[in-house]
Order: sequence, then C-alpha cells, then structure tokens
Amino acid sequence: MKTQVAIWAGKIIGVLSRALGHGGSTIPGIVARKLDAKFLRHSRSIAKTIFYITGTNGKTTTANLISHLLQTAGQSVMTNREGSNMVTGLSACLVQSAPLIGWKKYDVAVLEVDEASLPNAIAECPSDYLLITNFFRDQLDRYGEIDLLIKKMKDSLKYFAGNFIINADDPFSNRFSNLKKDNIYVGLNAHAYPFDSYLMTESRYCPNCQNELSYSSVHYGHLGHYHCTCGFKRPETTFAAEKVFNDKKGIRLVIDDEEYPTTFKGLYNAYNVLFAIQACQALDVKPDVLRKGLMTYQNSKGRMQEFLVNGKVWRLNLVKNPAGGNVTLSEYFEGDETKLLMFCLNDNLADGEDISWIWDIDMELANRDELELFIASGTRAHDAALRMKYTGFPEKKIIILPDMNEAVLYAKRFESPTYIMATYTCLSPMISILSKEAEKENKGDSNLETSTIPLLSRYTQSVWRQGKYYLLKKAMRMEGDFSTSRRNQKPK
Amino acid sequence: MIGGGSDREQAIVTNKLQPLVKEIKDWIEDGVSSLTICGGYQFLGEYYKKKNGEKLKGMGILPLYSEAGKNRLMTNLLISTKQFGNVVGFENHGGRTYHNLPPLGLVVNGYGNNGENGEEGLHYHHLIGTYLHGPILPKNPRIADYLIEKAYERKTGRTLEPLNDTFENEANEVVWERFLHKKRTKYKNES
Repeated sequence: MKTQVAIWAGKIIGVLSRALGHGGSTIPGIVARKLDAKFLRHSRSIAKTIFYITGTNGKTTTANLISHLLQTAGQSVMTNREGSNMVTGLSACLVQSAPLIGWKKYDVAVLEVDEASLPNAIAECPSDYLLITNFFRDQLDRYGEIDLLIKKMKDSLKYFAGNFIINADDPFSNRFSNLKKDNIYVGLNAHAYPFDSYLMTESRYCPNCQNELSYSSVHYGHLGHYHCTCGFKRPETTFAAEKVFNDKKGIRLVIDDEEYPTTFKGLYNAYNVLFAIQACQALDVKPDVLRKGLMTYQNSKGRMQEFLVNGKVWRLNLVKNPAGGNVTLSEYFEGDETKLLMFCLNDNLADGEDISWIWDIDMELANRDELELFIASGTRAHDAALRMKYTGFPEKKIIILPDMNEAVLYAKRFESPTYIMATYTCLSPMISILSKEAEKENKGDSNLETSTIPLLSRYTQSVWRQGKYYLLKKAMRMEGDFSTSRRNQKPK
Repeated sequence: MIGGGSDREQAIVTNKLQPLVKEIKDWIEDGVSSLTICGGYQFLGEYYKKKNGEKLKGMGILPLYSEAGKNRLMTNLLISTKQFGNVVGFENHGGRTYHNLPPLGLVVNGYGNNGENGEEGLHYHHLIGTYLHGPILPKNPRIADYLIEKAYERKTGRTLEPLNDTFENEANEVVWERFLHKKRTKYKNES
C-alpha cells in the first residue's frame, strides 16, 4: 500500500511539475522515495531481466541501442531517459512506467546508471547484468578522482551476484575483473581499424604495480591491448570485433564472421554496438534480428545529429569530457571540406563547473586550413576561444558570441556548414535553435541572399515572433565590421 | 613545474623525486622559475596528513604542511594580488595547507589555502605554489610572463618583449565578473 501511495504521489507531482513548466524528470522519483525509501527495489518485481549500464562515455547510446534491439526482437522494455540516471531519476522512471494500479510487467529493464550512483542502485536492486563501458577523466568536481570513484564502485559490488560485461580494452574497467570469475569481456581485436592516435590524457600506469603499461595496439585514448611486467594485462575477450569498417552509411562490424552494418557515424561507436550486441545475445536474440534493429536505429538527440541549414548539413554532437571531444573532432575533420567549428561551453552544474577539461581536448586537430572560422559560445565562450588560440589557429578567425542564438545567426552567413560541439546544458537549446532553422528551410523562407533588406526581413520575422528585439540589433551590427564590434561588446 | 594527480600517481612521483630533493631545493633558492599546483604544491611541504591520521611524507622543500579536511574545497577561485592583478581559476582540493611564507594573493571568492585565513598559494623567490588550475597560465598571462621572464633573465641576463594578451585578459575579466558577486561561504574566523 505504501508503495502504491508513493507511485500516486509521484505521478501527481510529476503532472503538476510539468504543468507548471518545469522539466521535472526526477521530481516524481524524489517524491516516491520520500514515501517509500528503497523504492528502486521494485524493479526486481516488474522486469524479468535487468541491465545496468555504467561508465564515463557511451552509456546513453548503449542503453538506447539495447532497448531498440530488444524491442525489434519483440520484447517489452523499460528504460530511463538520459539525464535521469541517478537513483532519483531511476525511481522516477519506475513511477512513470507504472499504470494507475499495480505494476506493469516488462521482459527487460535497460537502465543507464551514473557512475557515482551505482553503489546506491546496486544496494537497492542488484541487476542481472552490469555493463562497464569505460572510464575517462570526467567531471572531477562531481566525481573526484577516477581511482577513488572506482574504489567506491568496487566496494559496492563485493556481493554482486549478476554477470559483468566488461570492456577488455580499458585498463580501468579491467580493475573490476577480480571481483568475480567467468566475466564477459568485449573488445576490439588488434588493428581492427587504423585509429588516429590521440594525445594521451589519461594515466597509463598499471593499477597494481604503478609501472607504465605497454601497448601492442592502441585504439583510442588508453583503450587498446595493454600489458604490464607484473602480469596485469588485457583479459582474453569472450566477444570481440575482428574488424571495424567505416562505410558511407555508418560503421560496420565483423564479429564471429557475422557482418553487422549500422547507421552509426563515428568509430568510437564500435564499442557501444559491441556492448549492445553482446547484451542482446545474452538473451538469445538472433543475428538477423540484430541486423534489422541496427539498421532501423535512430541516433539519440544531439549525438552526431544532422540539420539542414542554408542547404548545408550542419552537425551537432554532445561533448562532456576530453575523450568525447577528441572523437568528435576526429569525426568532424575526417573530410577536408571547408567548415566552421562552434564550441558551446557552459559551466552549469550539469556541465561541470570546472571547465579546465577543455585543455585536455586535442583541439590542435582543428587547427587546419579548411577551418574558416571558430565560433566560441556559451557562458564560458571566452575560455573556449582561448583554448583555440593556443592551438596556433589565427586569432582573427576566432569569434566570441556567448549567446547561442547570435552564434547561429552569425554562422549562417557563411557558405560552409557549421559543426557544433555542445556541453550538456547547451545541447537542448541548441537543438531547438537548429530545429527552427531547419524548419524555416522546409518552408522555403531561407537564403534570400546577400542584400541587406531581405536579410533584415528574415531576422525581423523570427525575432519578432520570439519578442527578442535585442537580437535584431545585434544581428544588424554583425553586418558591419564584426571584429571591432566584438571588442566593444561587454560580457554580461 | 609540478602538477597534481590522484593519491596513487602522487605516490609514484614522490618516490621517484626523492633523490633529487636537495638539488631542487638549491634551484629554488637560486631563483629558478617554478610553478607547483594542487598536489604538486602540497608535496613541496613536509607531510600530508590523511583523514585516518596517516602522514604521507612530502619532499620537505619548504616549511609547509597539509591536512585532509572534511569535504573538498571546490569552486571558482578569485584572488587579488599586488604583483599580478586579479588572478582567476578553479580550485578542487581536499587538503588544507598551512604556512607562514608570503602568499600568492588574498581570496576574493572561494577558499584558498585552507578556507580559514583568506590566503591563497605561496610566492617564494620565483616559485609559485597554488591551488588554482583552470588552467592558471593562459587566463593569467601576467603570471605566465613572470615565470618566463625570470627564467629568461636568469639564463641570458636579457629581458623579453611582451606579447598580445587581448584574448587572455578578456577571458580573465569575464571569469572575474561572473563569480565576483556569487555567494561565498564565510571563513571560520570571519564575522
């Protein structure tokens, strides 16, 4: 009964909070947990199999892909949306998935769990499978040091009875290996694809004996085939991709002589696909079904998302840590077409208040002739611009526009497409700005070419509707010599 | 330059550097430009006392010591200095550092050395020890210039022409303005 009340209370508050215009994705969970303390334990009774996915990068993509593949196979799946991956968010997901009375039963629950919240989640409801994707230096201010984080996670898993699916290529994930026997290890075979080599930003030291690890093959960052003189080494994989190809439509994996073409752009997604396939095979999903699922999968919002603006394909990707920044840049600069690069950097709590991680991104990759302009945006635009300056990129090709609306307006004046990297809280405003632009495109209201009057009318229209007159003024000023106006612009 | 790291990595470095301590000490007395940050700053001192009372040995180069505190001191740190003007960055440290040497500056927003006496960092000869990262050099070009200048002078006896720091100074000002009026927890001995 207590539980039922908790669900009702959660649902009511959730509806109220949305009606009041708050996002409130975790509020129902907070309320339900107030009334029923260990609310998460109920996942056990509503799902036959539970997957937890944790690690620094790839949680959301892997979880979404697993859900999609299982749904393709005809299973009913409960899953949490991105951003609700802490204990309160997981509880909210339970509240929302419950009907008015009792529970709805699912075949599988696929839940991404924040690394720091894993101990609590495991204590309340141990999962059947735990997928550990990778560990990279992330938001130090939120998680503290990587070593401490892993220690806390391991402590909470001492009595874990489920199965581990571990990234064999990551020395940090491998530290979970000694908790249990018969773990499932996924990884890429040596030289599965000739990855570019990135600057190493992580520690490459052995967790056991502190000596430097040796690599016979590096995939990216510290992921690869490593071994140490003390005997610590990459475990034998139980499930590996023999080859990864970068086809035009997306990457293609070869696993156990089976081909798996996908719609994913970006080689780093090979790991996400590999994890998802392994997870589904654990539930006996057949390769044919997997192939069908992989080809019908739609990437989540803001993950290499494409927008048609000015007749050009703009791209947007979430970047929240150096490793993510590196793979994004290498994807953006794969071709040598001329382009603009925009970096939207916020320092809200969800982005991480400490923005020093941008200095660990190998931004030097972007210092190329075909880059026409670098636009820095967001609350910490000046820091992003400064980082770019230190790659040696000409200062006069760097522009600072903290307001993202302005930044997009400015970028639109160029022929070449703009590729955007956005931190967490920049992402959804950016998606809505770009969606509006893409919509305009469909209505045929764009590209009235260069003379001032049509440009003006274009700005008035969109600006009028939004009631943002100041944008109009700024857009007009951009028509002049921008480099001086930027100097005059006082930061807010 | 010595940066910070996790306790594990820090221990590796301390062991490796132990035989060089005498030499490093002489360099610093002789006015070699040095910059030590966070863990690197703490390990200049005599020891670091962990929460459980265990003392990790430092390099013992300068008379300072650090103790682990209850929670991490973590925020945007603004300090005002006579020599380098307004200095900005981010601090994220569990240790509290105590010394009687001249500080780098006075805390305007944030915690600094120990969150108690309103002082941040250490400036001794041409050595700077600090909790500021964020990173410190690009956003505080006067410190970067100072370290380079002193190193160059010591080597060649000549001075250097300054570079254009517009971007750097702009970034510094923006951070200063942004966090200047944010609410700050008061120091223990503050009324």
